[in-house]
This record gives sequence, structure tokens and C-alpha cells, in this order.
Amino acid sequence: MNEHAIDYQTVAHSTPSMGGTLSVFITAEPERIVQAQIDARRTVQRVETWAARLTRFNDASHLSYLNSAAESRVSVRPTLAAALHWAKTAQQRTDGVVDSTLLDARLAAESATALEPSPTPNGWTWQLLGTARDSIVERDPGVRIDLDGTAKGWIADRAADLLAHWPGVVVDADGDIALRADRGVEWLVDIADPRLAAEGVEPPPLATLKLRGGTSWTASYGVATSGTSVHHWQLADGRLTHHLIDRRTRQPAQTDVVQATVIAPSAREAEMIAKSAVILGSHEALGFLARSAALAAILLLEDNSVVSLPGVEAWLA
Amino acid sequence: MPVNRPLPPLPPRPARNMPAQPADMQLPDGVSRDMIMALAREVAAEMARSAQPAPAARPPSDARPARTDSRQSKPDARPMRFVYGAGAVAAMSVMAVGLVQPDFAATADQSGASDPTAEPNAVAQVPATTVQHVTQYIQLKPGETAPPGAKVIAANAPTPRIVVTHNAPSGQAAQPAARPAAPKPVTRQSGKRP
Repeated sequence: MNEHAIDYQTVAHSTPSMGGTLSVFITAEPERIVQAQIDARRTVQRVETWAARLTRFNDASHLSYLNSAAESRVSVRPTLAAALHWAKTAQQRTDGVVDSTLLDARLAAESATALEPSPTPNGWTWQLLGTARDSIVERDPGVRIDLDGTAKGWIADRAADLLAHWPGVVVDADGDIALRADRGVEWLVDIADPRLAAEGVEPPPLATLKLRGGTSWTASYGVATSGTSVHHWQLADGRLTHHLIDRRTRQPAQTDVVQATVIAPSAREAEMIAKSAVILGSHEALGFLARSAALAAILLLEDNSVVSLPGVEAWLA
Repeated sequence: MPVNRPLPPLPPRPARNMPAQPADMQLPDGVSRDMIMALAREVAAEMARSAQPAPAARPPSDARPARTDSRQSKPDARPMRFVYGAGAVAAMSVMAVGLVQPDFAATADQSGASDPTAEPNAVAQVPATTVQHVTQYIQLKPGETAPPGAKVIAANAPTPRIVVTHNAPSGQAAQPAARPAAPKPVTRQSGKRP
């Protein structure tokens, strides 16, 4: 593809958001670069608006209102309803590995000094009723929803859809990335190496992914990474634990997968699959990945080995 | 309300083509000049009576007045007026064509407009005018056929497209020398950084 002239330019707009960094990249023709900058800035503002509705760290958010309501049936706004719909879909597609009702178990794990049984039992359910514009959450009493495991990928996809008219788009929601590439556009994505992150310098990537547009169509991808080596803490007995809760034990998952990176058709699917691979552990994860919608997957195990699905070489730069 | 009034009768005209009689013309026997003149006066009086319209009957109060036929018998005072009017109309038409002349040059060269390979928004220069050629692209859906005369471009046909690479090693892809490296997104575990 070297024979084509390189006339596109890339604009980027980043801001602290969702506990990390939100970045939007747009490739555009030089004469449209100003409009691309405007669109990138507007998209970041839209994403922050959605994130403010879905966060559990703000008492004024729609999710906090839902979690604090005493009624078993609560009317929810369209943005929260759409995010809840995807959370329910992810739960069904992973056989419950990705479960948005584990908030209490996660909070208990984060505040505990030792691994203790979760204060809430298994089997709590919730469902979404009504239409997209008029939705109602019906749940067992006491069920609280946590969208930390599903909302970022969903937001990244939704933001990328807003920018579908540009030749190349990347929406990076703090590591969960939605990409769109027109024919001839190619994106390179680094996979951060968590083993070298503590040294305070920019470490070389674990791998670099290459994502390009189709031969005659616009390709959409999602890239997401999940793991146990960044959001973790030390218990009183010296053991490290993390935030990914296994619903079977309602405690942090006992897994040998330190990090999983997945390429999928969308960011929300990549996030769902990567999180499931970490929780399941390498033995179950490889079978799960083969059955899933993953296009490629790279697992970093606790023995420093790197495991990938067959055919991953086609996605490496 | 206008009322048709009969015009007064015209005096008899002498015959134009009759040759003038000589003053010493010989009269037949028994016919005197006075007799001829008296006969001529009687003939003129008779002709004047026949040319005068009959008195119109008084119309009823709720009816239109009877139409007289005095115009048919009246000679046209301006027999050439229709000819003059037609000539005036023709003259006005000629002047109007000269003032508002169509721009024949604008339609002189339209061959490029039907050329589907023409560059979109290309402008062809024509003396004293500008013709804008616009190529309209229609993406056919499965099962659709192109309209008659349209040129079909295959979906996988190469079109000028640009490659964007980010921090690619030298030799992998062409990069402009003066352009800074494009940002490269990084996928990582979310959450608090250590």
C-alpha cells in the first residue's frame, strides 16, 4: 500500500474521564481537519455526559439513583436502559461470568483485609422491562447494579458510531478501544505490558496490533484489555487480590491469567470476552475464547508466558 | 353605454377610370345636355337613397338595439392597417430576439456531463460561460441494476486512498518526512495506575 499518497492527518483529543483517560482520534483530509477537531471535542463531551449518568461514584448519577431506590420496580432513563440492556446481554453470552450484580461482593472485597464470604447470596436477579424510551428495572430487593465491567466498551462503541462518517476513528475509553478504519486506513495499537509499568518509564509494549480497513468496506473493531495486575491491593496476610469477582465464589477470581487482550468486532464484546478470560483462568479461557466472537486474543499468564489464539500473527504489526 | 350610430352617407364619387368627355362631344338627336344632367341628378339621388340606412326600429326597453349593417357597406378608411399591424409585430419580435438572445454557448459542449469517469466538480472552460460537470454516484444494493447509460464501477476497484500508519518502522509504509508521528492508542487494564 506504499503506492498511495498519505494525505490524511490525525487529530486527537484527550481528557481525564471514567477514572482514567478518554481519547478520541480522527483521521481526516487536510481540508477537513478543523471539523475533525470540533467533532473530537464534541464526542469527548458526549462521552463524559454518558459516563456521568452511568457511574456509581457520583450520587447524582442515574445508576446511583437506581441503586439507592427502595422500590423493586424503578423507571430508568434511556441511556441507563441501553447500558443495562448490554449488561444483561453480556451476562447471558458469558453464562453469567460477567455479572453486573456483584457490586456488593466487590465492595466487600475492596474493603476487606482478608478474603471473607460475600454478604450477599447468589441467585439475585434483575430484568429490564419496557421499551428503550420507557424502561423499568425489576429486581429482587437489595440488588445493586455495577456497570464497571461493561460500560466503557459500550460507551466507546457508541462514541465511535457518532464519528462513523470519518475515514478513521479511535475512541479509547481508558484502554477499551473502539476503532473504525476505512479502506486503506490502518491503526496500530500497543498492548501495555503490566510487568514493566511500575518502573515509572514508558515500557516497550507487550505487542503491537495492526488493524486495517477492509478491501472495499469500513471495518469496525474493538480492542480491550482486562487483568488483575493494575487494580489490586494487598491483604493483611500479604497476599495480593484484585477487583474481578468470580460469581461462583463471589470473591476475587483465583486465576493464572494476569492480563487478557482481545480483538473483537466491537469494544463492548472485546471487554466482555477479555474480562471473562481473566476470571475463568487459562484452562477454561482458551475454550471460551474459541467459542466466543474474539478475532484474536493474547493472554499474559502469571508465569510470564504469553498465550494466544491461533492466527494471531495476522493481527500483529 | 355606447350606442351604434349610423354614419352619414357618403357623397357619390365620380368614376375614376372614365375618360373625360370632351366639351364638344356630339349628342344624339332629341337628347339635350339638360336631359342628361337631369337624368344624372336623378341617378345620383337614387344612389344616395339606397346608400342611406333604413330607419332603425325602436328597440324594446329590455332588448338590445338592433344591429345595423351600415359597416358592411362602409368602405374601409385604412385598408392597410392589418398589414401595418402585422409588420409592427414582426419588428417587435426581431427586436426582442436581439435583446434577449439565448446563451447558445452554454449548451454547446455538454459531452462531458454524461461521462461517468469525469472528475467530480471538474469545471470545463467554455468561451464566455462555465459549465460544471457533476458526476453522481449511486451505490447499488444487492439485486439492483444500473440505470441505462450508467457506468458501473466495481466495488473492489482501486480508488485513491490514503494509508495512515502510526510509528511504523521505516520501510513498512510510506510516511511524509515532515509529518509528526500520529498518536498510537494503547490498550491496557483500566483502573488506578500503580
